[in-house]
Amino acid sequence: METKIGVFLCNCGGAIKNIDFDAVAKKVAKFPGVTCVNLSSNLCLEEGKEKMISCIREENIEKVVVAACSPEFNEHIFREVLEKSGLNGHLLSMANIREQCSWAHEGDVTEKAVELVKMAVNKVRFLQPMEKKAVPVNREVLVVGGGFSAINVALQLSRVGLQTTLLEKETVLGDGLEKLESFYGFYPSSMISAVEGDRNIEIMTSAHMTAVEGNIGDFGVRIRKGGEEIFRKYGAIILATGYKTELALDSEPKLRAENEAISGINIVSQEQFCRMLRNPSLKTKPKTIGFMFDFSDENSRFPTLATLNNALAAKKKWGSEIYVFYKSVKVDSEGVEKLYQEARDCGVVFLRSEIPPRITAKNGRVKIEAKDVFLGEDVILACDILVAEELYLPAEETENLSSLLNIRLDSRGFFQDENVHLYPVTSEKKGIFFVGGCRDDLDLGRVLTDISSVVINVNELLSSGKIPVDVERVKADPQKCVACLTCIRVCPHGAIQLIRADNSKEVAGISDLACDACGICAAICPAKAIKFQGYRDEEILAQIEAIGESSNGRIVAFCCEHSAYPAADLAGKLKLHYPENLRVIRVPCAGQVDVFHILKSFEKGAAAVLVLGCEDGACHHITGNIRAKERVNYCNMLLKEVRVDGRPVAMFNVSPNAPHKFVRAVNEITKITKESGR
Amino acid sequence: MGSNNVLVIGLGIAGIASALELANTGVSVYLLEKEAVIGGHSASFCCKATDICSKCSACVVFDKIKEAIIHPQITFLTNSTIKRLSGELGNFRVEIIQQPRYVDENRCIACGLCTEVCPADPKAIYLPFAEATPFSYILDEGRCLRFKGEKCDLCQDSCPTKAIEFELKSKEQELSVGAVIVATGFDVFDARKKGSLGYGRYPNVLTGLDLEQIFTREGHLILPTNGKEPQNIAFIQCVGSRDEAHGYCSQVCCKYAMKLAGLIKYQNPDTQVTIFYIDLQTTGKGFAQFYGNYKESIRFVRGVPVEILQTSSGELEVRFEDIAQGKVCRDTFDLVVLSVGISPGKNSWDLARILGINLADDGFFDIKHPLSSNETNVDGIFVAGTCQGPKDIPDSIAHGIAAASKAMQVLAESASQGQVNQARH
Amino acid sequence: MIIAERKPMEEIKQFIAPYKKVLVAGCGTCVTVCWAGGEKEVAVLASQLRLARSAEGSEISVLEATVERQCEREMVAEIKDKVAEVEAVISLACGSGVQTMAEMFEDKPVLPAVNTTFIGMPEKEGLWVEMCGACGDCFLDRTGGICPIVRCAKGLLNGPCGGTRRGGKCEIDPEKDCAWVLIYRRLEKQGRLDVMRKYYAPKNYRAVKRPGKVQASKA
Repeated sequence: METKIGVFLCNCGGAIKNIDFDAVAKKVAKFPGVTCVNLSSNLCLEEGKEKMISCIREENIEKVVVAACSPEFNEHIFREVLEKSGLNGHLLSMANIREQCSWAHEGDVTEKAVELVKMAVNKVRFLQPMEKKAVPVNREVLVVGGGFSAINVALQLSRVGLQTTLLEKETVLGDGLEKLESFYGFYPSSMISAVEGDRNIEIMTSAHMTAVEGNIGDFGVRIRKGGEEIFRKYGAIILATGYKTELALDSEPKLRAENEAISGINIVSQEQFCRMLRNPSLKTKPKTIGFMFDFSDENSRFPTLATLNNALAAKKKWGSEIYVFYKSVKVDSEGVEKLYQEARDCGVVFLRSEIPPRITAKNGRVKIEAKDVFLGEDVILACDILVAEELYLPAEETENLSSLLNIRLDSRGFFQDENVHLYPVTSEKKGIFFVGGCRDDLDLGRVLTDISSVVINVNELLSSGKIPVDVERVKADPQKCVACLTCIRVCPHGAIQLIRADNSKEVAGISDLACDACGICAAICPAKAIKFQGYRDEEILAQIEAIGESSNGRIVAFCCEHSAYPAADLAGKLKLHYPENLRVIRVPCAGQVDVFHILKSFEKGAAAVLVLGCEDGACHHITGNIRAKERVNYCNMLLKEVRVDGRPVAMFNVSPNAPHKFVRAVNEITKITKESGR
Repeated sequence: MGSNNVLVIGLGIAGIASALELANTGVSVYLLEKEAVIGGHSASFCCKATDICSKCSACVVFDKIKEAIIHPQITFLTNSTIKRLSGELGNFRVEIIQQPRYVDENRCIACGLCTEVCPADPKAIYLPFAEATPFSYILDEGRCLRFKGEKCDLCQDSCPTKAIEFELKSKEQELSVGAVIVATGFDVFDARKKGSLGYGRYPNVLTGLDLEQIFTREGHLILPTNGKEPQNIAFIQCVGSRDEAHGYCSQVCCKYAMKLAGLIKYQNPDTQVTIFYIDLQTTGKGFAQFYGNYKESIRFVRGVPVEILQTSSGELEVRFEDIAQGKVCRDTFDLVVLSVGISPGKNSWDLARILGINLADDGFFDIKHPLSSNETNVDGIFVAGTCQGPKDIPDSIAHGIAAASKAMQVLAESASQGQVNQARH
Repeated sequence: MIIAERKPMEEIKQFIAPYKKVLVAGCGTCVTVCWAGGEKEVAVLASQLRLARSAEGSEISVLEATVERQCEREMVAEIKDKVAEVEAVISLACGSGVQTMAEMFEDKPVLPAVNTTFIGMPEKEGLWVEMCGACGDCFLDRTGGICPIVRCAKGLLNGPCGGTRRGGKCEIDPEKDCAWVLIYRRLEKQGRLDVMRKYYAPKNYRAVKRPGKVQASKA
């Protein structure tokens, strides 16, 4: 018995003038399985929804197609309507006949509208219901680190009732806290006693992670403390491992050699200088002090802060003459411009140069030669102490931790990929967070903001002890899985593990909690064992079939729902017209598009295939657009092999707010297609 | 009885980020916005990707707005302002005035029939812009013939969903909330105040924001005067920042100038771009990878110009001190972009008075102490985003999330206190 | 496991040239894991063949089937109905699978679409390297688990040839590590260098008579 499909058409208040709805309704009524076709002028409003619910109930409709405005707007509304009518909300397929049809093209678009509805009807036949379930999770949090960020995160998490373990590799907590006194005028000794006295916080010093397995809600962590191995479970992991600084001098071997004799005494780091300032038994106060920053590394927020604070402190405490050599002062943090002005007003002299100054030793003092930009002349300074330029670098254990956790580092070796969708504190793996100086050169204000952000993020996930998931949204069929480990290796979210299925065979198991529904695994599985509800082969092929049945010349565009699909909608809203023969198939990520889908599109008569995903470096699933690009290239090679020329497959990257780029891509591929005579 | 609801005032990206974070934890959030559309300034920023994403985060704003508009825990109150606030943390009473929208955004399906029949010129009923959220038409009383005394019902008659209602007055309502987050954003520095730079006089002197909007509308850069692509462009940094009236760095301008320059050069590699600066801000995650490219393709000149004059041929002559060369120079350009800074909102004073919170010396909202940049002098009232000080988009989002975090923490504590107190009675 | 690689398309097209109805048969074991002949590759090849013929202006009907293990008669028997419908079978399995199919369906040409290359393992995603030469006389115990027959370009069994390049690279292929350097380092880690000092008699390459036969003792 065929499923009863109900099709609901909406003419948007009668405003859609270039579609003949009666003709559409007539044609659609003939599609197999369609038992009811309804035309409305306001499906999204209360009265329209009420009518839909009664129709579904009266006609015993089992699956629903809505042909109206973009699903980006109203999909959730119609899913609710289905639920209210007693159907599972996922048995819905939408045809975008407004933004991507009526508004996107000139002239009559009835034919395209019919095809779009056909695509949706074909797809809905295969859709299966999906349930939601609340999965219990472990509420404990592991905080790796023991400095300012780690301590504050633990304290704030405790305030909201979550228990944490502070994992510190040194023997004591509070490494690096003395700097805070010099720079911000407070010594957080109370912080350490607060942490030690907090019943929600467990402190493990001289301890480090040796292995991690599992996913959010259920991380299994092996810790080595003393000679012991401890195994613990946590719901989330927060990395707050800080940073390290290194004298830029160290990277210049010649410079170092020249200064061997006096380095360490006359050439110091900011931290050593802080200690000098705090040392009550300092014998001689330095009369002339030089500071340097922003030459080797122009990413110098922290060096700017350190210099300004130390220079001011030295001026006030010792009254020394202070000269600062720099290229550009980094004032893009709160209060730093004021600090800079204060330093200048206090008499600190700022000497700007474009190239790094020359540093040599002379008569037990440090000689600095620089070309000052304002004077246009060389300046030579002999000083008692030079606080040399420092590089802000990732902490020692960053690389090791990133392999243990299998998470990406950024291009400078700090935690957290540079993908903007991860900011401020998340990683590509659910349940793993970064906070503070371990992810970037941050001032205190930004570190504090990070800390608060991570607290609410973790609270949101773990506080109720349960996280709702779509049950088996993406699943590897244990019968077909050959445990080739490909999906495990490619999943950008680390959501797949080898598990033992019922018959004890090792197969890929996808964690509902950790899965972010991108479909990259489904597209790459060589055994076609992974099923992604709503985007399975059946569902995609059904849409392609509908396109193919019409005459040739169609361009199939797989549009990622985060980027190209909204861009296409915007193009419609802006009335930026593009060729009518475009047929969009909405996908969760460009990385979900299978080579197989592209080839089938051609088999069914497509003139060209477009794959559109996010801009390079901005993929919501990190590697989806890269995979898509590789597959598109592979596809072109496969077609070339069989001498099927003139059937272009192209990949374009576009942002959701870049409708012009979308239209340019479509126009370009249309032009190529016309030129090859299809 | 305490309330667990939160009121967020201002719907720029910080307000939206705050609201989303709270809503995701199950809190009910009211979002108050004085305009008819949400999104603030950053909603009109363009994507600056070249062949890779330039990390400008304009698309993140887009994503967050989309998420917020359909979130069941969030109630939007556009065209609304606060009249009075009373009470305390856990128990605030807020009186709100909502100006009539005339077009009900819940019923408007953006079909466009009304604007077709509107006889006014410019149209009195229109869609503010394509990306407008809520995606609904608005009626401008100032343009509408009916409000000028004429008889006209054309739009109302044409509306298929009966979304237009003229006999509306401003509505007052009272909300009971546990905490308030102020996220009213910033005002763009009015470049006309630096008269010698020619903004407002010369059509080809634009601000960074104008540029963003041209890109958003047209997809590429064209001159306002002749619609052609400019060949020689100057960016002038620190317009309205780091000067006598603004003792701070606006944090966003160096990066947006460089990213816009990068986009311009990507679309048109032969374009010459010069950036005049004081100190180049080249920090932050995701910037180092681009700086190398920028250094090669953009001409950086240390020294901010003081005067721009339009020549008889319509070009712009910029007079500046080239500090590296030690002399005063003149260069001509087709287009000059003023990288205007972030100024405190001019409505901040009123809001500060109504809420009882302090303004800092620089005009932004003041914070309680430096170790907590979201807390104000009033318990339960927090600030988020650029209304507290200049920030870029990622920092505004983070600040908004932090404000939500703080609000959540104090509400939880106040609730448990309330329970303790109740238990005692 | 067995690693195979798809044959050049020209070759495949050539041997299916006379046919109008074929079956592309995949195998769900080794060739699936090495991305050469699983259900996915079957679908892709089938698509390519249809597109190719259509571009040439002629027809072809391509059926698809994947057997769990093509070298098992019982499993192959499951697709006998599909085989009966076609003129020829294109097998994406290793040589073992092709021959099993050929034996089961003697009246149909069973054509190999992959080249069975070696026994190997994945070094990283998408890259498989040869590990084992199937010599029938395994002596990995004394080479620290590294097989010089396969991994040494000259197949030497008693130490390096003396032509090792700087950095421990092979004389023949400078991109390759010298197997004997690797063996030395491995044995050194295990404290078993004495093993390398012994002399081993020349290898009996006829240890495996062709075709090989292994009779397991009853369980």
